[in-house]
Amino acid sequence: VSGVETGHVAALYARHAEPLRRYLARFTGDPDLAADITQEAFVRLLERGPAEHMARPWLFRVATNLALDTARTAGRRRTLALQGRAHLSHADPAPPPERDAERNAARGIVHAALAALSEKERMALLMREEGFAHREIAEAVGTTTGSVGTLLARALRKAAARLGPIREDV
Amino acid sequence: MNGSSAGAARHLDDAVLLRLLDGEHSPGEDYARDAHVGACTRCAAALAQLRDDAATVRGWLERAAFEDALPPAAALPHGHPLAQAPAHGPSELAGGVRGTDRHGRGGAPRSARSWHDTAPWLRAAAILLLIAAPVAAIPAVREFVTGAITDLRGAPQVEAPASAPITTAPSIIRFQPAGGEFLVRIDAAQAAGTLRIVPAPGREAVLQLHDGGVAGPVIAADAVHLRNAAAATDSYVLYLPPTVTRVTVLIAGRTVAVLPATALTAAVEVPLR
Repeated sequence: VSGVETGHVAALYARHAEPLRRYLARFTGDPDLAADITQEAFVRLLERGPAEHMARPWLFRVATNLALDTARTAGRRRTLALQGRAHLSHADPAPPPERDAERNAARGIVHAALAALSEKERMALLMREEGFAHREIAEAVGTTTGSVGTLLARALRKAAARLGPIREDV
Repeated sequence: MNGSSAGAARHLDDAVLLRLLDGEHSPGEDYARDAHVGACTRCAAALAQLRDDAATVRGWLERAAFEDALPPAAALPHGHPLAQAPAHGPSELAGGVRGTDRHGRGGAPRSARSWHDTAPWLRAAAILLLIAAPVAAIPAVREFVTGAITDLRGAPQVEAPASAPITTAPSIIRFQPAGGEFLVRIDAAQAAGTLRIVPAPGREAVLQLHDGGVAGPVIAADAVHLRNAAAATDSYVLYLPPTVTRVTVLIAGRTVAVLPATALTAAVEVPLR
């Protein structure tokens, strides 16, 4: 039984949809998939979500599991892929080409660095970026609050080592 | 000091350093650990390095700007059933239950009139509306290409992005089946044109091609705008659901080819001039 009032879902959506989509886009590297999973997570919230005050970590945990399930089954059909550099932009008009190229390059670098992390490391690092407390991250990744700092430190070091200093040419 | 130890001679471990960095250490921990970092060059360096790493990661994430590739989250419209604050009277609240988290801890009290107590038609409408609101900013075309075809006639018309002047019109479009998908290959910098897919009578999705000089499809409410890099041959992969009956190719608003979907089970070349 859902613990979330239907009347509150709109407020939860307004508050959490964008951060969740941003998190998922970073987590999966696929903005289109991120939008799909965000919708699915909110539908599940309606169907069987927890009490409202638990909704935020619940949404991120459920959405992460959906993303991992999708990746594991690897059966998702790429409905529209631009070879080698697929990303969908819903912005209209498009940004200037050079800016678009910079962002695409940066996305490629960031995606590669994040993909090199374990699922738990990636999840913890990106949840931290969304402002989650260590306790919430620990619960989401299935570890203790005491050890989530170790997980986060390892994730940050690995990601930073792969990313390197920000370059002006990217 | 190894996390739980207060011994000044022991160095702080990663868990403690992260708690310091994120301001998550308890007040009781503050003094001893701050003092340790102040006195221990090794721990101070480790904390500084961690801070630098965190800043590096954040900087890259911001530069990548994944969020810019996302459609804006649509707010539920005013008057939307889901946007209404629950108006339950005291008698309804009296039967309220306490939510519990997955550990069985008590949550905030909530009304007895939960989602599952709502009339089925209202639940269905609520889900549809919840989905419809954000999807309004996401292309109906996606529903089309993923096979969940909706009637697009009512979709809002979106002005196509301005095209750069036509420099080189494509001379040929190749449809190359690949499993349930097909590749659309265009042999030249893309002139303004339209690839229209008609999945069923009365329903159509429009894939509009523009010469924007920018590689990357832009999805609008009723169309996918494929931008072909100038002077480049590019390919797009599209999925044709089984309900597609024919594909119409238009260039600059002129129909240049109409293909039955069955023709796309084999490679097809469409000369355009």
